[in-house]
Amino acid sequence: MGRYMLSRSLRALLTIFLVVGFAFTILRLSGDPAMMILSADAPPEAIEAFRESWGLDAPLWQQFWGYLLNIIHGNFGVSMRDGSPAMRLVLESIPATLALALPAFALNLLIGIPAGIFAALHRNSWVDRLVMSFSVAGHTLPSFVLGLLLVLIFAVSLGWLPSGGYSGVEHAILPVLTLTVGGAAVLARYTRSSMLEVLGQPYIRAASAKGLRWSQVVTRHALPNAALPIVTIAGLMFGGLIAGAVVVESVFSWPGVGRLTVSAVGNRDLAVVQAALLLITVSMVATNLVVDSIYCLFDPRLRASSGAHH
Amino acid sequence: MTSTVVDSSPLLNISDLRITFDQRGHTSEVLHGVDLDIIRGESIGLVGESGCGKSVTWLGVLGLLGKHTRVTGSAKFQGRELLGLSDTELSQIRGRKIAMIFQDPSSSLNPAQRVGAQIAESLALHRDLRGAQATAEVLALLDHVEIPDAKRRMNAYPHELSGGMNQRVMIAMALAGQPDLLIADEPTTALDATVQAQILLLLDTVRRDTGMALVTISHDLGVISEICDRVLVMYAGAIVESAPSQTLFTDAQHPYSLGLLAAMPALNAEVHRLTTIRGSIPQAGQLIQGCRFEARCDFAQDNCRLSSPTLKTIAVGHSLACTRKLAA
Amino acid sequence: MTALLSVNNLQRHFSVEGNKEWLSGKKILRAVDGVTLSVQRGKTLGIVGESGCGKSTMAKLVLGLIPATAGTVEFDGKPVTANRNQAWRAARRHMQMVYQDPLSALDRRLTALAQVTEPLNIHHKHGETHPTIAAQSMMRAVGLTDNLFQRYPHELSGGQRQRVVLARALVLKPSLLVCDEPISALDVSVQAQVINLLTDLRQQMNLTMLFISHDLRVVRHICDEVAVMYLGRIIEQGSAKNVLSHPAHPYTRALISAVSTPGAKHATLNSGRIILKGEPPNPVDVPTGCSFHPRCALATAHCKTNAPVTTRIGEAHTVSCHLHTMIHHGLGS
Repeated sequence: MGRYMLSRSLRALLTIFLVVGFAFTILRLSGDPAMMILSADAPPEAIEAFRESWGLDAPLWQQFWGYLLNIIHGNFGVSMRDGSPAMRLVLESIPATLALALPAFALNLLIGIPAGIFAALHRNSWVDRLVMSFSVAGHTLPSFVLGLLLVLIFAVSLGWLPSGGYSGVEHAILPVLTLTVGGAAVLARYTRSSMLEVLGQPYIRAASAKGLRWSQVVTRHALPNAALPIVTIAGLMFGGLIAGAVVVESVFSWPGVGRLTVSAVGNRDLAVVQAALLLITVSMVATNLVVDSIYCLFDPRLRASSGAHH
Repeated sequence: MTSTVVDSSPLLNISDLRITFDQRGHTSEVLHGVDLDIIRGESIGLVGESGCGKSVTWLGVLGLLGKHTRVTGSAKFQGRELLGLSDTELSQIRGRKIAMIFQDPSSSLNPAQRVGAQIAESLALHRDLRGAQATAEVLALLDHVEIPDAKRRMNAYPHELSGGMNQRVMIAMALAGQPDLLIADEPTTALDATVQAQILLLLDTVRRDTGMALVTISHDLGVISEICDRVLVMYAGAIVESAPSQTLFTDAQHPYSLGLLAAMPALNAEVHRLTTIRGSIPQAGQLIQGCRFEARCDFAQDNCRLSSPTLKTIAVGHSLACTRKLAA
Repeated sequence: MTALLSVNNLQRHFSVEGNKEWLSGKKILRAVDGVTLSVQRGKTLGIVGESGCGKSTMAKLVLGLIPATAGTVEFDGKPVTANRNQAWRAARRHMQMVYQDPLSALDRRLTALAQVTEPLNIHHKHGETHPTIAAQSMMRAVGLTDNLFQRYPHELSGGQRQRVVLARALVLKPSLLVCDEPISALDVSVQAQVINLLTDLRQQMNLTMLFISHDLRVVRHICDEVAVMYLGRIIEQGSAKNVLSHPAHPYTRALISAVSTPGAKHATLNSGRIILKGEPPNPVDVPTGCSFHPRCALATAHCKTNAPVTTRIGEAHTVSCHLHTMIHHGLGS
């Protein structure tokens, strides 16, 4: 098990490295920060000077190497706009993102999982079809469309809720709702298929034959076995919530990591983008690792390796 | 250990049992009126090929068939009608009065739970035994089914045990409720030959020790003849012949029974060309007017197509459903 | 006459992850552990044994589907390797396999006729009969009616599917047919049909067959010779009649006595039946000495420490058992 975790951790580091490297390269190849920050009709000398001061005239690999060395020393660069440390800007925006992500995650679990279980237990009934229709709709509707729709209905037409901003609980309702719909839809679908697969197994019928009431069969034998894939999906979703808030935060002008990243990309504010990406990548990879180890811990078949026969 | 009073009232009495599956608008009747009686302590075998209904009969009686099925007729256990009972009422019967073990023991056990705990669940459910008492009884049951090193084995997960071991666990679990009737659905099909011999011996021993009735379902006539006193041959959803097992193997009457017997190669006989039954089994739910075996029968006559034969007694303990033979 | 198929001291080992408890590294699973056998042209050899004995691995080794760890396989005088090169693909023409589960052996998306025609299209030589015609005639020969040609596998019954698999295997007119439990998944009445079919085809096409099965009754019926495997080794071998009527090895005796004979009620259950102790063991933990000794009622101290040698006990009948070695050499009682 230890060997397994070590190799997973190494692979995780490799992933982070690749993501950061990729972003680094793309950012520098796809537009000139100097032009973005200074404005297109700034004098060429000013642009040159800007480039030089930020080291943008050096070859790409040299820039990347320099960046890596800096990271090791804890220096993530500074924002090209106002000079403040990039990582600090990013870290400061995390609480706002979490303020959306955590409630949304909780609601995903509270709505999605029971819906999926219920749909599976009443397969092909009208309830099942209803849940699945909502699930498909929630899954396929892009979050910005949903977000704008909600704004249109609740903020513009009905005037019940504000359309954006960050100054009170009522500002969080629509963005959290937007995040929840997509997440709960996905979770309901996966929960349903995991439950259906377990319910089709021979040991479920055998459990009924033992004399357990159906409710006992479901809670004692079906749910524990269906739980593992659901835990995996939920864990991965949590990692994704941090990253996926990008769109929602932009729609609702919510000052979280997502919105920061988007505006930094638009401005080619390189250090900030890289710092944000690094953080998001690390959180996703870490979540994956945790989810993997939970899975390993709870499925007895994965725990022992293939030699454990007797 | 003899009983002074022989109780010959049927333990289970099934009458005109019909089972229909409702799949997306298609209804197909898979069991066409099965009648059978089981006496306390008896050992009967149900033999037949795919689609004959040998498993579906018991799943229907125990209410284990799921939502889109209709079970009509009557199934009385110790005088009490089972069909139409609610799930809660049936759960009092299952495991406690009538227990069932299944074909693939390794997948009939919860993979995420230790086997000892699964047996203990039955003990808590049916005999209200918990804690140290339950553990002691689990060990006693595991010993009874001849699992060596029971103390260690009870903490194993199903995937850590072999098929034979798991089948013993299932038998132990079934015995935990002290049932009056045990239904063994293809108990040895998924097991190796030498293990099969062990399990059959175990089933027979357990039956004699506890006095419970045993129903063995199999496609293998050899297995059936080992431990059953009486054999019922089923074909396409109905019983075609029922006889004491010695009689069936020496004096079978139904063309299908004869066909099955002839189709098996023997170990020590001279090698000869096997007699086969031409054609194939009808599709489940296929509507057939007369005898369901008629299309494959070498002796079919015209009136075999007119009406479906019913099971009639032709000798003591020997019944047959064959238009031609009964008319003769 | 040289044998069509000749196997010499064949071994196939797998390394598996060690048990976590002992923190040991890899362990070795000896699936096939030194098998020597040969099959004459036109004869059928049956390989019997229980799970873990290595018979399915033998099938794959003989066909060159997996590489051997040691030992040789020779087909028609030429060595068989597992390198998937031109020669290997060309050899497919001469050796084919029939599997246990016909449904998973067939491509779900091809019609029956398409499946049988495919090998012909691959190996087609100029001037031979048109593939479709040859395929159709083969399908009729295995008893499939014309109306089934365009059906998909899921539209066919178990017996019909297995016939398609057979037709596909035989359409190239191979000299060797390896059957790995070809009838266990079929209904009893269908088994009889397929057994008869195999016997007929074998005669008509002068097939050499390797028939792997756990069912001794079928093996007795179809095979000329039989080899009994236990934990990767052959422990008894000979003509089917001799081995199955006069079994020498204690394991063979147990296997035979485990066969249920209809009508022999309780005779086999109570008396005369040999019930072995314990379970078929794991090929990862092969016992020392004679690998059968933990379950053998006749085992002696000698059996625990020394591996038995193959002794000839009759014409076309050999056994690996100390008991017989001693009897044969007049030692002990």
